[in-house]
Amino acid sequence: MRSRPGAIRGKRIAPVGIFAFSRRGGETRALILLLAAGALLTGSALAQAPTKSAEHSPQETAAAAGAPAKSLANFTDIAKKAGLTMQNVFGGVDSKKFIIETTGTGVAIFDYDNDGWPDIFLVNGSTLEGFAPGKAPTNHLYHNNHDGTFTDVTAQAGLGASGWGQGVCVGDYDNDGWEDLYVTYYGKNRLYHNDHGKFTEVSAAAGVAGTGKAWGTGCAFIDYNRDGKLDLMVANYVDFNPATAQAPGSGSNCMWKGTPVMCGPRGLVGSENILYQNLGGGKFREVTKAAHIDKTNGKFCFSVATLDYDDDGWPDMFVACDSQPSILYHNNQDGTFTDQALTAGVAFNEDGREQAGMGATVGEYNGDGRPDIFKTNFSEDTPTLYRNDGGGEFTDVTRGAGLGKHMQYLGWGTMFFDFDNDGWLDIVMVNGHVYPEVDKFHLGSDYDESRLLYHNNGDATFTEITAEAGPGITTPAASRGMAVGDLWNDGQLSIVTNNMNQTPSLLVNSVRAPNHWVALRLIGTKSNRDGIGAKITVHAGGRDRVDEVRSGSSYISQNDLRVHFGLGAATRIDYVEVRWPNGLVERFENVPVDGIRTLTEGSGQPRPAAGSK
Amino acid sequence: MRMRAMFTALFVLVMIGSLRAPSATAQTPKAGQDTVLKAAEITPALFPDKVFFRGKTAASQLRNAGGVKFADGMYFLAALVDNSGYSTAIKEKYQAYILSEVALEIGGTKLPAGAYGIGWLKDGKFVVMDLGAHDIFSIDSRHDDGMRHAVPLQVVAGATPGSYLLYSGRECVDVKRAN
Repeated sequence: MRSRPGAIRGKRIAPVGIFAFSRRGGETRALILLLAAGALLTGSALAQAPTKSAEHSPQETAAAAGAPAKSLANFTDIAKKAGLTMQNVFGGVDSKKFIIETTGTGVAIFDYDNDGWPDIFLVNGSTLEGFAPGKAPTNHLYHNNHDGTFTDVTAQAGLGASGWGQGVCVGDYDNDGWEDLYVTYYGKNRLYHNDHGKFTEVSAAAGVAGTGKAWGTGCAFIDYNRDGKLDLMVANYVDFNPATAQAPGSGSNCMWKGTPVMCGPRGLVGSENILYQNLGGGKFREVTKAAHIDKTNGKFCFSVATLDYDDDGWPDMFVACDSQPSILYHNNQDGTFTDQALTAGVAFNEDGREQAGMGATVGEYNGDGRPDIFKTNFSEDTPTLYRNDGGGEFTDVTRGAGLGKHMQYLGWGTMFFDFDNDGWLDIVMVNGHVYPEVDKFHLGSDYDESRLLYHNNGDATFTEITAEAGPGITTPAASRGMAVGDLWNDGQLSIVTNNMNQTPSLLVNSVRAPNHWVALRLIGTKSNRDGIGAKITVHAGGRDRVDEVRSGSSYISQNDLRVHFGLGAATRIDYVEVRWPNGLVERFENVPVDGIRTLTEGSGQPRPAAGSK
Repeated sequence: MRMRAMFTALFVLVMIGSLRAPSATAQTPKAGQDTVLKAAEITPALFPDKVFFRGKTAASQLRNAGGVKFADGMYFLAALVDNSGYSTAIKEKYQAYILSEVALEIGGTKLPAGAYGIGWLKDGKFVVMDLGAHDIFSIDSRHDDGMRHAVPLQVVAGATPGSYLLYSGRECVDVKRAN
C-alpha cells in the first residue's frame, strides 16, 4: 500500500494525545509529536485522526463561488473537480418501462484503507437492454487524496462488479479492523471482505448472497443478539420479473394523473426482508422466520435505520416502506423482533395514512436524549418527522416542526446532520421524481428537483434555508442515495449523492460557523469492533447530545461511521459516556474539542448501566 | 372534609367519563352479540381482493379493512382501495369500498344493503356513491383529535350498543344497522 501523509500503515493512529498533521513533512513531525503526546498521555483512550491543513481546504475552494452574506451555509458541488466522475446508469433516461429502472443507487462514505480519511463508494446500476461483456457500468470506489480530490481505485480494490446494484452498508463483520462492504442487487447480493484495502467477494461462502431472485434495497449491519459479531439486515422491495411485468398504462396501477407510467409498486407482490445471523468464522445463517422478521404489515421496503428507540440497550430497526406501513422492529432480547410500528405510532402519518416511504434517518433533534425518526416520501405528500416521546411511542410532529411546507418533492436520501456545529441536528433531503413523464406532461412535479436544507432552530422547530444554502442545494437533480461525512477531518460535514443517469454530487459547505465540534470513532474490544449500536452521550455546555453508531440509514446508503457532534460555543467537553453494544457503560473525560477522537472499549471509567436491561 | 373531597373528585371523574366523546378506544358494547372485525379477520373469502367501481376493478387493501359481524351472522365490511388508476376527480371521492348485507344508517341516513364507493372529502364531508360513481348522499364527517395513533381505516364500537364508528385516519362517521 502506498504511504500517505498522515497515514500509519496497517492500523489507524494508535492511542495517543493531541496533535495535527501537516501535509508536508508530516510523518516525521507527526511521529515526534506522537511520541511526545504519548509520553504525556500514556494510557489515554483518546486518539485523533489526521486533519486537513487549512490552506488547501476544499471548503475554501468552494468559497470562491461566493457565499451570500450572513448565510448559514453555502454548499457547492465540487464532484467533477474532485474527481468523482462515475456515470450513473440506471434504466432509461427519458422513459421508464419498468419499476426496476426507477429506484436508483446508494452511496457509502467509509475509510476502506484505514488511513484515517473517509473514502467514497458509489453503487451503479444497469439497463433493461444490458451491455456487451466488459462494457457494463460498475460500482466505483474513490480514494480520498486528503487534498480535496479523489482517485478512482475501483480496479485495484477489487470492486469493479456490475449488475443492477442498489444499496450499500458498511461493517467490520469479522472484527479484523478493516471495514467490509455489503452491496444489494436486483439479483444476488455481494459481501466484500476487506483485507488491507483489497476486497474479495465472499457472499456465497458467507451465506448472504440471497436467492438471486430478490430485489435487495437497504441494508444495515447490526449486532441484534449482542454477541460481538455484526449481523446483517437486508430490506427487499418487490418480486419483479421483467418477463411478466406489465407495460406502462396497462392497468390501474400503471397510470399516474391520467398518464401511462411504469407499473407498481402497488399491484406487485412485495418481498420479505431478510435477517442474517453472524455465526463467526465468516459464516452467516438466515434467521428471517426464526427472528419473526417476516411477521410484519410492511412490504415494498427500502431503507433500514438502526436505533434503540426504547433505550433498553438492545438495537431495534426502523424500515421505510413504499406505499405500505413503515416497520419498527422491536428487539425482544431473545433473538426475535416484533413489529411495533402501529402501537409506537410510526407506521402511518398523523392522519393515519400510509405513505410511500423511501429514506429514513435517526437523530436526536430536540435535546431530549431520545432518538427521533425523519422519513422521506413520495410526491403529493410531506416528509414525516416522528418525535420520540419515550415509553416506546412517537408522535408525528411534521407540521409543527416546520417540515410540512412542501408537497411537490419526491424525497429519497436524507440525514440529520449538524452542518453548522451549533449543537442541533439539521436535516438535508435529496429529491427527484420516478416518472420522467412528469416533465413532458407537466404533471405538477419535475423529474430533477431541488434538494432541501432545514436548519434546526434549537426549539424543536426547523427553518428551511434551501434558497440561501448555495447552488449545491438549489440545483435540481434526480438524486437517490446520499451520505454525509467529514471528508477532510476538519469538522465540516459534506454530502455525497448518487444521481440518476448523471454523475454524482459532492456538496461542500464553504461557510464555517464559529462553533466547536468533536467526532468520535469507537473501537469495540468485546463488542463489535465498529461499536455499531453503541449509544454515545456527549455532555458539553450544560447539555447532553446523544447519538448512536449506526450502519445503513438515509436512502440505501452508509454514512461515515464516526459520530459527529456539534458543540456550539462549548470549548470543552465535560465527559463522553458510551454505552457499548454489550452493555458496558464507560465515561471518558478530557476529550478535546475540534478533532476526531478514538474511544476504545475498556479504556474508560466504568459506570452503572442505567437504563439497560 | 377528606371524605367530601374524595366524593367530589369521584363525581367529577364520573361526569368526565359520561361526557367523553366516543373514540377509537371505546370498548365493544356488552349488549348483543355483534363482533367488530379487525383487518386481520377480513380475508379474501369475506372481501374480494379486487372490487368493481366506475368501469374498472381496483385492488382492495385488506390490510386496511374493518367491519362488523352482526349477531345474526350478517356482515358490514369496509376496506380502502388502490384508486391510483382513476381520474383525479374520482380519486378525490372514491377511497374505500363497503359491502353490507344489511341496511345501514350512516350519520342518520339510511342506506340499503349493497356495495358502494365511499370517501372522505377535504371539506369535511363523507360521501357515499353507487358503483357508477354517482353520489347517493353526503354527510358531515367528524374529526377525532383525541385518537393517539390514527390508522388508514378501521371500524370501532361506538358509545352505545349497536353503534359503530367508521374511521379513515382521524375522520369518522357513525354507522349502525338500520331497523
